[in-house]
Amino acid sequence: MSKIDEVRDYELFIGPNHPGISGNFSFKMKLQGDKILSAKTDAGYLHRGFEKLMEERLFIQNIAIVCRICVPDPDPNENNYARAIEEIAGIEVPERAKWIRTLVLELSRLASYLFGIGGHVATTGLYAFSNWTIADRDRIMELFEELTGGRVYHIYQLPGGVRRDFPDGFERRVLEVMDYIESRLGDYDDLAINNALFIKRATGIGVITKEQAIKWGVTGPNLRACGVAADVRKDDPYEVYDKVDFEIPTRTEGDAYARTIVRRKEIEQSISIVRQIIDKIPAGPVWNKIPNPLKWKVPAGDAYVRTESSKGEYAYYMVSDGGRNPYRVHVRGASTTHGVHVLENLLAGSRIEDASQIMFSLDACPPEVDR
Amino acid sequence: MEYEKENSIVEMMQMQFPEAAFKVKKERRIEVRLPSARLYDFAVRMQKKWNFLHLSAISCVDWIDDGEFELVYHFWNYDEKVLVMAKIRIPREEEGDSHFETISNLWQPAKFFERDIHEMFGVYFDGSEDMERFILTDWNGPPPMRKDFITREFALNFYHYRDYEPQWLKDMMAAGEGNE
Amino acid sequence: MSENNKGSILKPFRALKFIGEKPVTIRTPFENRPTAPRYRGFHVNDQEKCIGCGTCAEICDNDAIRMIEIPGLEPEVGSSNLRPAIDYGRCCWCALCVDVCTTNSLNMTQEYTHVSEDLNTFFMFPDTEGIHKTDFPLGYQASDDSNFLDLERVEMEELSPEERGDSFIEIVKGYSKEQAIAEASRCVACGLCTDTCPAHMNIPEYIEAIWDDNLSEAGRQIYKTNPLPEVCGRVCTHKCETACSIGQRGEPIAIRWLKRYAMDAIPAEQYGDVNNFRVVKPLGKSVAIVGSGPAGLSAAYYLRLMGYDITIFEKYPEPGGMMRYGIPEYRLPYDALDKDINYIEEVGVEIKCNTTIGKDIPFEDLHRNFDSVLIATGFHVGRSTRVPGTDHKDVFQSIDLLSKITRGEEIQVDEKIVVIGGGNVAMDIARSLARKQKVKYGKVNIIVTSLETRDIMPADDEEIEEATEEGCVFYPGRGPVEIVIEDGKIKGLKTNRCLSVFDEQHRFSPKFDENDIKLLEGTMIVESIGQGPDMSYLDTYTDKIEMDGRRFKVNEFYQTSIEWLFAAGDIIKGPDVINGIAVGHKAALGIDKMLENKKDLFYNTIFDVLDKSLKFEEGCRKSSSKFAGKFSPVVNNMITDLTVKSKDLEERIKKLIQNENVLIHLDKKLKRPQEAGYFERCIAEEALADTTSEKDFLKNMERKTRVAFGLYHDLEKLTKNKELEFLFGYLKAQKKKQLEKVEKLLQK
Repeated sequence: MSKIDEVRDYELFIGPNHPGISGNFSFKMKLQGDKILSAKTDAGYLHRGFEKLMEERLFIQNIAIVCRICVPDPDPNENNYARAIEEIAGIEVPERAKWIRTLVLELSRLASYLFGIGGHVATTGLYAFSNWTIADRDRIMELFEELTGGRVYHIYQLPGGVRRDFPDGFERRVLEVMDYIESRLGDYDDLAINNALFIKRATGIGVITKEQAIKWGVTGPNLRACGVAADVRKDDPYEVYDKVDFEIPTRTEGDAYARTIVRRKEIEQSISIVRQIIDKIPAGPVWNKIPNPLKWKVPAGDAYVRTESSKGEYAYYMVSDGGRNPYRVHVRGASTTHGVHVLENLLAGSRIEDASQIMFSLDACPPEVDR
Repeated sequence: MEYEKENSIVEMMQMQFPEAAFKVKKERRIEVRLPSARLYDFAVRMQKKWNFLHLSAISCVDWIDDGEFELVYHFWNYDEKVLVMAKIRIPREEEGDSHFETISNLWQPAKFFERDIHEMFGVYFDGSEDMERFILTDWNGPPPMRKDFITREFALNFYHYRDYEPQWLKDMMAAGEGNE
Repeated sequence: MSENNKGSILKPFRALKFIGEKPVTIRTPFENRPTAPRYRGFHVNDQEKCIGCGTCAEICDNDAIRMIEIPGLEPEVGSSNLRPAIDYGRCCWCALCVDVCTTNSLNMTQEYTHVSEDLNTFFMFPDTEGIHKTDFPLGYQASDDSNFLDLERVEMEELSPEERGDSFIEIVKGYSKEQAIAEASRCVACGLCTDTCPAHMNIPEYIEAIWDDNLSEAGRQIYKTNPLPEVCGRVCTHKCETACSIGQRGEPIAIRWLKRYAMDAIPAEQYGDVNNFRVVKPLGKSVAIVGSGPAGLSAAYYLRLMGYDITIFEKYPEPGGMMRYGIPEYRLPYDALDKDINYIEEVGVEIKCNTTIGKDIPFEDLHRNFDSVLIATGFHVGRSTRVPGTDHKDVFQSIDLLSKITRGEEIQVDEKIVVIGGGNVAMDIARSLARKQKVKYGKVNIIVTSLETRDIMPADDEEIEEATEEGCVFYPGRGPVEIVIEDGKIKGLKTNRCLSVFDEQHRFSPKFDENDIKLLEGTMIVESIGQGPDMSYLDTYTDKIEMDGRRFKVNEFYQTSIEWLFAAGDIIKGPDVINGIAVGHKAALGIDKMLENKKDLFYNTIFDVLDKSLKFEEGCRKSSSKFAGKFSPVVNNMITDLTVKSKDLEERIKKLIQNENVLIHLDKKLKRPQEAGYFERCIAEEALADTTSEKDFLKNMERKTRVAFGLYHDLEKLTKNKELEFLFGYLKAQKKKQLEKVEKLLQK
């Protein structure tokens, strides 16, 4: 590096507490003026040691800690954990429980999308929009509180089914909230999605081509924004996703705007799925009883279960050795690829003012990376 | 016939790797046990020939009683929609790192997983560009996910315990002769 | 929506439509946000319903719940004196504790606010009114939608009345392995059963061993407090099942049948292996025991394990006392009883049958030839109603008839029999005679009458039901007046209605209605109203012993006023087998205390135990390091390896004892007091005798490691505290590895 470069190039440390980052995360960036030459991610601020903790607790005790791995979208965690045990132990889940689980997953997806798009638009400076989406997300939180007893951490799905049935009048309230959110979509479009300033800011930022996406292991809405119609709900169906109709919206540009558009369109799909579920849900029990959980051994075996969370492909690899505790649980968060290497690849060559927009548009969630 | 698609894929793979043990677990799940020397060839063929373009995860399991680590590679095919779990076993060193070759030149997601396995289990992936600590900065102890690292003990020695003396407990003890 | 970049100047005015809309936000403190009816807020615990089982503390995944002893709260059958207190610094409000609560007393309210500068207030005691004593409605409550406990018992198969009516084959068929494991998995290990059992058997531990399919461990846990498990597994009055916490909302665990399953599954040859953690070191002192009933056999077994030489003197031809001569074969087959007694003899107890103290050997001889004497002769003399006519030849005592049936002698069996009495012994004789009648006459005609009405009859409900199924007819609530005799033959029993059995002070004082007369027809009367002792053998000592009413005066160790004489069993405290076993064990401890001049018989705190285990490890290390380098390379390596590991184990124990930080929050009291005798003897074993033979050294090593393993194994279960449990579990695992190594070397 010449002397001029030594003066021009400088290092910047961003994080871990920064409004432009979605979580506790840090970057070490090398910049030249406003241009980022290279970035190195540094995670670990949210490492709570879940995988080791899970090995020392009984199978039933883990349901209380598993949801805390991802904050905006905790239900895929519970779902994966329950399904992994069911697959290893061969436990059947009643029909009604599967429908309820799908409902919970979709509501959580809606809440997370609202959070995510709000976050992305806020990085361009349009904070009113994110205030709106957070406020509307609160209505979904109230639905959760009514159904499960907790707003953010539901601790609701356990191996064998779910913990409680619908309270009275719940279906009506779900449909009301869906109607409400649908009515707001027009306002969202007017304020932000069709806003000329936002479009100008977000197009062309963080472009991922189709080949790059598959090579870098991009999944979820980010992959769909590059033109690949891949969705775990359709490819590897679980719960009752093969019994409801929904489409997979795709775009081809692969930039930040396309990713947000994909998420915005998926909100409509999720609302439609929720309405179908409320319409078609059968009656029946909601839990197939597992034996006394203090004395329950799961037979030896392993399972790899995948869910489509709002951030991408979320997978658990669980190994049991026939004892009371899980022998190994490996959590593959959706952001393990997005938040680390994809981010580093995209940041190199972009500008400093777009850095947080790239991170938010990828919807990278640091708790999933750290576990 | 059940699992037609999975069985035909297994047949195709078995021809190239006769020493591997294949098993169709359920729909869309195939399990392979390989000798560890054959993994790199298998991975190359997965990507280049058989179109398994997506590496979903690399997991490591510590079988301390057998004295081995088990590395599990999860490959996903977008077209056939099938998941293949390739399992290999490498010997486990008591002190220091076990070694294995990297596949991060083929798949970029492998970089993160290998780095994670290195700091958590102590498996060094030769040929990888970056084996530095990622999550556990300033950690000087043994790789924590190993089975002989006991969290309870670490917590006992490292953290400071605090006891409570709430008013109701004091009242209760004063009212009768008790101990807790 | 479209890629419409063209805006219109009027677009922002669309925002005016929001003027009238209701905001999502809530304007506290003017408005209050209502919580959902199912909210998981702070806990409340109904103190009346809560039984202190501790299941909530077991399942809490953050160790947030601690069970606290409430001073002034008395433990009862089925309820302990502990109550949960919750640390809200650790609680995550997952409500697993609510879903697993055995009595549904723990619930959650809709309250969620607590603000305080004092950290101590975050450790809360949920009682019936709630944390802040405000009137918050209930939130998350237990429901049948997801009830974690298994409330139904696995059914035990029995012979039907037709199949069993005419033979003495055992009625109960027993559990298969799948049934036993399914039944054992219902247990939540609360320990209320152990508190209620007179012998304080380690019930949760052996149920867990059965669930783990580790039957030798189950046998070992059972034998720690009960040397007659085959018997108890069939005939025990199972007070434990009354206390079982699952019984609060469902059916209690079938503890008795599980015990029977475990002991049936272990063949008699393996009993020695099962119990070889108990090492016997001869002490050179001897004890004589008069009577081989449950109390005598139990005392003999425990004294033998402590190293004494025991001789039992039994009047009847075979040992067993009331177990053999009182309980009929269809409830307790003789081979089950023999299995238990044979093992007690195998351990080294000598039983001399057909030897009557007082006739064959004078009582004085016992005092001269033995260091201590225990009398446990029981109640073998039947009591009579003494109504007019009881001296007729066809009036019998149930205890005599039962004894004759056991010995295979012929007894008189008439076509119509009347049995007087309402206890278990009356049921025994009635059902035995019913079987005899069925064989002889093809039909049953037995009448059972008792003073007590059906609801207060002292016999077990199962016995009464099964007797009714087998054809016995009951006339409860009637008292005998006279036996009517015509032409030298009994016609029947004249009875009056009994109005009450006990008076206000609960003394036995029955009142009759003279006008309500009923004649119960029968040609043979059997009296079964109670038994008494025969203490004639005491001879000259009868005046020297202090009495307490009609019984001997004994202290807490069943020692009489004569220093070397102890008394146990029915003559002191009855009324069933398990009480006899418990009393025999305590008397054994008392004899040990007297003969060895011990100060402390029990360890009560964890520090007593940690001190001893530290000494034990140090001793092990020092004595085995003496042999370093003396044997073949493989064995030498093992010795050095063991020495290093022992040092590491000592360091761990020391760190725990000396770490001020940790000691603050340990539960210092043991779950139940541990007998010191066993510990002390284990520690005395640590010195290895000098030897040059490698084989001997390895054998000694194996025995010592096995003792250490047993020691830590017991210690692991004794503490409620997770850190200590972990420490002992770790030590135990280390010893197990050493044991495997040594065993492998021995096999070469």
